[in-house]
Amino acid sequence: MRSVTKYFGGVQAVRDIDLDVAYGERKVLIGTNGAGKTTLFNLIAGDLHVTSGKIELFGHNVTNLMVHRRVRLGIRRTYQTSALFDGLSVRENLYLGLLGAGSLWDKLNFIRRTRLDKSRSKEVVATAGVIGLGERLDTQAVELSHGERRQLEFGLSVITKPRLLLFDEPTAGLSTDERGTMLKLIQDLSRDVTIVLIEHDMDVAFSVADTITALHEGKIIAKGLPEEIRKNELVQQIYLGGSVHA
Amino acid sequence: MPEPILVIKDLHVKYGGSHVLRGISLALDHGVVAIVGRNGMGKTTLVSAIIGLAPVYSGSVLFNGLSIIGLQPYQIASQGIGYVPQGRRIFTSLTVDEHLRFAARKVDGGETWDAEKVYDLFPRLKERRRQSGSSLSGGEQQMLAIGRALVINPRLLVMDEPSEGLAPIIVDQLVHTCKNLMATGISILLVEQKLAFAASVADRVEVMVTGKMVYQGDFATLLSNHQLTQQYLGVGG
Repeated sequence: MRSVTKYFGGVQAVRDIDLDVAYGERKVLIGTNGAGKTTLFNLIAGDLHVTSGKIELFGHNVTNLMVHRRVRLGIRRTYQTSALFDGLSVRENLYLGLLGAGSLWDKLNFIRRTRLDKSRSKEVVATAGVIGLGERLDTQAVELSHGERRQLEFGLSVITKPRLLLFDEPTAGLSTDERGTMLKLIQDLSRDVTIVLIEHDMDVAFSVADTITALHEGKIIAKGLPEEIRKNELVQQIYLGGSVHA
Repeated sequence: MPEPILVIKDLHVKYGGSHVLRGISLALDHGVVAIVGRNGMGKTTLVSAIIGLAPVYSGSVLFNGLSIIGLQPYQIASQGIGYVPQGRRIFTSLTVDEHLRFAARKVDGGETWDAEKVYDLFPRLKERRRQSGSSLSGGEQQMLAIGRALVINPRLLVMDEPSEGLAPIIVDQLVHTCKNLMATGISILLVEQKLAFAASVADRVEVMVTGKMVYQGDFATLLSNHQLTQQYLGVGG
C-alpha cells in the first residue's frame, strides 16, 4: 500500500498509509478502537475503494479492482461479525465457499461440474476435519456454538487455498480453550499463505506475529518486531495500557 | 440485610426440543457477579431470559422483589435493567447522539447518567456523536452499546461480553467504570469470556456448564484451582 488515504464524508479514516507485507509473512495490526484497522482491511479486500493512494497485490495494481477480481488473485477475509448461512449445514456452507470461488466456466460446463462436485465433496470433508467440525458436517450453522461458528468461518476462508488471508479479530468472543483452538489453526497454516490479522488479544497477537503494525487515528504510529512493539512507549501509552488484557 | 436486587430460582428455558437452562438459581446482592463458562453453555440464554427475550419454561426471576417473567423487554428496561448485548446491536441508521438521547430514562435523585456523561467516559464517542451507528468501528459500537445501557440509569446492568472488540486500554477503563458504577449503587451481572477482565471486576463468580451452575464462589478460589479451571473452562491444567 502506498500513500493510501480514505475519507468517509469529512472524516479521514485512513491517512497516508504505507504498508508492505512480504510473501508468507504474518503481520498483525493493532490499534485503538476506530484507528482504521477494519477500514484498511476493507481497502485491501476491495469492500471499499481508496480516496487516494495505490494498492498492489502480488505485483498487480488492484487499486480500482472490485472484490471478486481480488478474490481471483487469491485474497480472502473474515469479518468481525458472523458471515455464515445460518439455515445451511456445515457441509453446505463449506461447499458454497468452494462453489463461489469457482470460475463461470466450471459452473456452466455440466460434465466438468459433476466431476468437480466429487472432488469438492472430498475437500469439504477434509476441511471440516481440519477445523474440528468433522463430526458436525450435517449440523445447521445456527446450531453451532460461537466458537464452532468461528472455526467454520476459518474453514470457509481457507478451503479455496488463498494466497493472502485477512483475519478480522478471529478470537473475539471465544472462550479460552476455543481461543487456543483458533490460534493453533492459524499457526498451522502453511507459509505459502500470507496472513494479515487484526487482534486485540495480545496473547494471540504476539503468538502469531512476525511483525506488528500499530495504528492510531488512521496513521501508523509504530511498526516492527513483536518485542519492539511491546516495549514501544507510545503503543503502551495509547493502546496497551495496564495489564487486564494479559 | 438489604433484599437481593435479582433473585432467580430454578429457571428452565427450552427452545423446541433443546433444554438450554436446567434449573438455574442465583441471587445477586449489590455488587458484581460474573458468569463464566465455555461457549454454548447457556450464558447468553440466561441473560436473554432475564431481559425478556427468551421464553421461560418454568422457574422465577424477581427484580427488586417483583416477578419480571412475562414482561416485555421494554417494560423490564423501564424498571431499571440496562442491557449490553453480545454483538452490540447498534441501530445503523441512528447517530451516536440519537442512540444516547432516545434511550435516556430519567430517574429521581442522585447522580444520573446522560449523553454528556457517557461522552466523558468514552471521549471517542463524543468525536463521533453526529455519525451513524453503521460508520462506527466495532470497538466504538461496543462503547455505544455500553453507553446506551447506562443512560437508562439502571439499577442492574446486564452485560454480555462487554470487552469483546475493545482495545486493551479501553478494557482497563471499563474495569474502572464498572467499579465506579458499583460505588454508585449499580449492580452488575457480567457474562464474560476474558477471565482476567471478569476477575478484575467481580469478586464473585458462577461457572455455567450445559445449562447448570456448577461452581459458585469467589474468583480467587476458582482461579487457584487448576483442576476446576481445566474441567469447567479448559484453562490451565
